[in-house]
Amino acid sequence: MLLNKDLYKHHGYLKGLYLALKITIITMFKNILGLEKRMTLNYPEEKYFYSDRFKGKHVLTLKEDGSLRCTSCMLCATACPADCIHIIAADHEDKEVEKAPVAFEIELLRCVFCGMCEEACPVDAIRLTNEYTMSGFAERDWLIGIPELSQRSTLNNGKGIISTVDDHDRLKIKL
Amino acid sequence: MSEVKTTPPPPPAAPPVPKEKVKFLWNDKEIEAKPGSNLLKAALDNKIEVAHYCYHPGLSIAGVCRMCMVEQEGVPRPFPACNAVVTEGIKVRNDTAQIKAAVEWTLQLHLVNHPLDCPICDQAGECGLQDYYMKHGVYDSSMIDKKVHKDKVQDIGRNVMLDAERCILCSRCVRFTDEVTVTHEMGIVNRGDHSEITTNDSLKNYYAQNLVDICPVGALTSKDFRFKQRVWFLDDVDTTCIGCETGCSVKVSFNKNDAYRVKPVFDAAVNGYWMCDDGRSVYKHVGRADRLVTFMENRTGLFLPAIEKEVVGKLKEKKKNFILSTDLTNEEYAAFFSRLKGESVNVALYSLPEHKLEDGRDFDGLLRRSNKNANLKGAEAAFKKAGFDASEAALQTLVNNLKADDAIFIVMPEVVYNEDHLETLVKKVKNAGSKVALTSNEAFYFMKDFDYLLPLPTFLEKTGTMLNFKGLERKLNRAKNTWGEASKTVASYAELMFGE
Repeated sequence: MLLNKDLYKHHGYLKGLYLALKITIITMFKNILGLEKRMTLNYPEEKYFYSDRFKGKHVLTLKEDGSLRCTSCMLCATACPADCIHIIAADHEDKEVEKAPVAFEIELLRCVFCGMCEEACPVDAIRLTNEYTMSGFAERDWLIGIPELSQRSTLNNGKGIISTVDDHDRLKIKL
Repeated sequence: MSEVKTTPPPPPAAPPVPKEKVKFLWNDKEIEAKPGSNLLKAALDNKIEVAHYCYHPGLSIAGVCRMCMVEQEGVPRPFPACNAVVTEGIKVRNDTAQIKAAVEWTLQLHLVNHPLDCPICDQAGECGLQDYYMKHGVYDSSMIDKKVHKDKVQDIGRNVMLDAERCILCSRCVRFTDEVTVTHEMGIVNRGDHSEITTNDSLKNYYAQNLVDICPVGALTSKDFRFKQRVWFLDDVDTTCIGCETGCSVKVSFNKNDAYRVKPVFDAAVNGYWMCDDGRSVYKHVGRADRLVTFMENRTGLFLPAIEKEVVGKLKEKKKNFILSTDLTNEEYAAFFSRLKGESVNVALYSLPEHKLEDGRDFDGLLRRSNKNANLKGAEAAFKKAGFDASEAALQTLVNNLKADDAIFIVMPEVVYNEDHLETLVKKVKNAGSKVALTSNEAFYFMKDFDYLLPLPTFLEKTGTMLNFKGLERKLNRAKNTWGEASKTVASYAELMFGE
């Protein structure tokens, strides 16, 4: 603690100022010479990475063949306290899949990042990532759809995140 | 020989007068029911929850699901309640350990080959399997064998989708097509765990959507409702179908501003447990994007939104003629005619033409009728009371006597079966100076000749009564949401035209 009140009490004003500046200057030289780790970072160029448990921007996971894992059961939309998930479901050409979303939109400005959608999902289709930088001007920038949710450039360079909870695996799990 | 003395036979004992109601005990709770009535129905009518799949009050007894097992004092073995009758003083229980184990095991056997694809199943939320699984389920499956897979996503006609895997073989659908429609399209084929329901060709009856209602699981789902909404988002409003003169009791399911489906509500006097497929789409015009919700004016072929005051100002000076439709409520007719008192005005009734059934009959013996006028009886009574003629001839006279300084207001029918018939009426009123259509539907192509289009509320946006073909009073209930600006009824238009 640099602002130590005892410093002034014991040494008086001028000596206190001198001692405080000494610490500042020593730390500055240590930082310049790289002897001590800096507490700050040059923000846009350098970024802080939170752990994977952080609740940030959403992602829709993919199956191994690259299609969406979401079955549009609407449980996330039901669990959502902010009512910010909008899904339109439709028939899928594959009978085994049967139901898939044609539109999956999240209103990021409404979202409270509580993670209830992630907990409600029965197939591990929606997750919250550790991505916390979001910016935009117009309201439409904050309404993100399937391409942005599943294959934006920050997710494995646009390849998306493949969920390992596969249909075959699910049958192995003892319910 | 002496005569053999024959003693006259004793007079037969008077037969015991059957009691109106008898009492019996169900889990120590005293229940009153008619002697000889169904035991399960007596329990269900008294708000006792008993798990059951195959029993349906509108169908015969099958006793195949074995979920409603009960024990009776003095009877050695448990038996299904749906196949037993009520007699006086019996003591029935279904809360003993033996019965609970029986239901648990039965449910587990039902679920052996069930795919458990609830996330993609439309029935989830109102599914018998889900409900009872939460109550009686054995959560750990003891099966090591793989599930038997059957054909999914089969379109079996008449907007019904079949998923054979989800079926628990309760045979309700089979009994429905055998007993109610007598078309025998559904059947159970194969043996053992390969049994599945199927159709002989495809469904062809006009009550097929009832199969979706009675299916306790997600095996039969509606193609029309498929994946549109999850059922837990929907709120039901009880109302009356305006598809024809039968006037079935129905409930319409809403989510926020939109209606999504129509289902029958039990009404012993009119429709019983069923309704026809035509009535299922009766809500469709309500939420349509092209539905009229503002005043529109015809500007040389282009309809543009108009200001209410200007429209009223232009029409006020002219002599007014009204043609009403037959699907307004009794209250609307009464309010309209009470406003007309003392005004010189002509009113006629346009009733929809007969729409013969597919085989040329007027009535198919169940519910469907060729007369599509929802409230013809009520309209005729209201016309008679107000001193107007509701006959076809009066309509023709009104149309033929139209002059260039007349204004004609036509209330368009809400559900139009025969557009050509309506078009001929519209063509006949060409002589009138101003032609105004009041519609709660979309704008039809032949309405291009009209000068003004004014919006009306639909049957889901008003409360009132109608009289069906028997003269029975049917109740319409306003759904909690309305659409657009269409809140003016015919009476409020009359007030606009004749008021200050």
